[in-house]
Amino acid sequence: MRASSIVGNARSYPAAWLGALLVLVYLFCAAGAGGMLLTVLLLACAGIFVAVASSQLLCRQNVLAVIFVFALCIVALATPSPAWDARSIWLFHGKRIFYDASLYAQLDNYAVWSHNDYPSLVPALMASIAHVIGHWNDVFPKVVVPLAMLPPLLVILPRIPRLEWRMVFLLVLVALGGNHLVDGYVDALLSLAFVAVFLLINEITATDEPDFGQYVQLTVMAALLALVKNEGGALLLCAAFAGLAGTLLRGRRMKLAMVVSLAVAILPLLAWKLSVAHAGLSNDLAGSDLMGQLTGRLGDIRSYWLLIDSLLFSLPTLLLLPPLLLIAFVARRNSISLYVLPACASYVAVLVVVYMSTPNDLPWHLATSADRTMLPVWLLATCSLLVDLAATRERV
Amino acid sequence: MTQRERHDQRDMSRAIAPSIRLMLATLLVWQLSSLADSSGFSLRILRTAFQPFAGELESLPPAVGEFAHFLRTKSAALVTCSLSNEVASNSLLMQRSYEAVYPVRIDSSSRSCILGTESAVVASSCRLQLEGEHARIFNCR
Repeated sequence: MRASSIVGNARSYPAAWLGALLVLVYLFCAAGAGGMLLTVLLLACAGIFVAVASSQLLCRQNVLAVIFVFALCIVALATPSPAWDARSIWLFHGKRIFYDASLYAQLDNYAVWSHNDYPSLVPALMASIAHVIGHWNDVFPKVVVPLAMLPPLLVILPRIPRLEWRMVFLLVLVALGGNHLVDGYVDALLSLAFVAVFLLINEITATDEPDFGQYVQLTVMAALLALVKNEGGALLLCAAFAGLAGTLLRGRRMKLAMVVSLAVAILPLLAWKLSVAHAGLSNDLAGSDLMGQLTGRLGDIRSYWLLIDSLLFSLPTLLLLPPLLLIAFVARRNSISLYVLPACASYVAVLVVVYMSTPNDLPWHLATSADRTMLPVWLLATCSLLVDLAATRERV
Repeated sequence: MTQRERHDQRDMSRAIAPSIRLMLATLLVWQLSSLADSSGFSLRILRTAFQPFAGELESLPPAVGEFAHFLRTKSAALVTCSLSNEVASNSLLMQRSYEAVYPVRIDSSSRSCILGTESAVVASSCRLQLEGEHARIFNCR
């Protein structure tokens, strides 16, 4: 492949290139690369990342995403890291990978409360930066999270028709994501990856002959989504389900290449889950009396009320759901909102099952997590509304 | 709507677009600065962001920061430590101790190094090895 065609390809699919580099770093760590070899590989990836990202500064469509991510990185580098899950899970796993020089360090199940079964893409990226710098500290590793948001944002923002509405999307992202954009939590990254995967699946479903680059982009984004945290696998299934619903509603045939892309994308997650199973670990939900908790709460009316109150009666849901339903049923197949509904509904159903079977106290669990677990739904709804509010001729 | 009216509408939206963009950009900058503010933005942290142990003081409870400092500077070759009852029963101090002192591991059977916050010795057979403002390390071997 000539250098000029690589540059041209990077211009067309910068998100695929940047996302692929992140997955590649993870795969280097998974393959056990270490020492000088890992440093050289990481520096090469960082060089390509910076080259592709900076070349996109010249592109009007992407400059907003690059500046936004740069601002988040500065904030992440200038703030301490006291956030609970960020320290107890992501930064701790990253520190363990760095000191033990192994992606699988957490599989010895030391510190059981740190969710050792969680996928380790983000910790691996944190440890990789520390490996290049030569030491660990409590500040710079968390810059990985906003940096990893760049590929999904480069998918999402160009698909929102006007600059004003792209800004509105970022305003909503900051309003809903809050400190979790910069404090080392991965929920905002997970949500953006979900929105990006949904948009790509929807685009491929709606296109007669998608090109190879679109499938590569989908594979990379789906792999990122699946590897961020356990919910990523569920979100990927929900996006795929919405893709299937979209195919049926449009009266088209299922595209085999899309199925292959999604199947390839979950291979790294499957490899991780096999390692977890081989180490004899399970997650806090599966390791508890799941059915007992579920049946106990199904008979308790207070549980339903708590769920409805936290998931449906929250302000973002109340603001976003009515216009989403209205547009979906008025504009029907001309709207993206129609295809968003199965994705959102299926993920909320997953959340209901998870909360109903949680081993934790339900009010406490909802109070400490509902605003994060609903973020993928809220951001997808916002994105689809902004796309649908544009005139059809303005859409990409 | 006639073609003329459509043109007029498009001209008007083009005319107001820059001011809307400016307003949204201002809002976004304000939002990001509020985010920085609420996250504890500090130029001092930014200047030292890539230095060893940066942000430790601001990120950890004082006692845990002292544990990490003691184990790094004064107790060479320690591989494991245990936690005193007071630290182990406080989930914040317990989790922060596990991750902050790593690669020193927390092992409840370790007697040569007990990380505590108690002012009195944790047991009669123990002696105070290191003492800070908030934290103490005991040796009970």
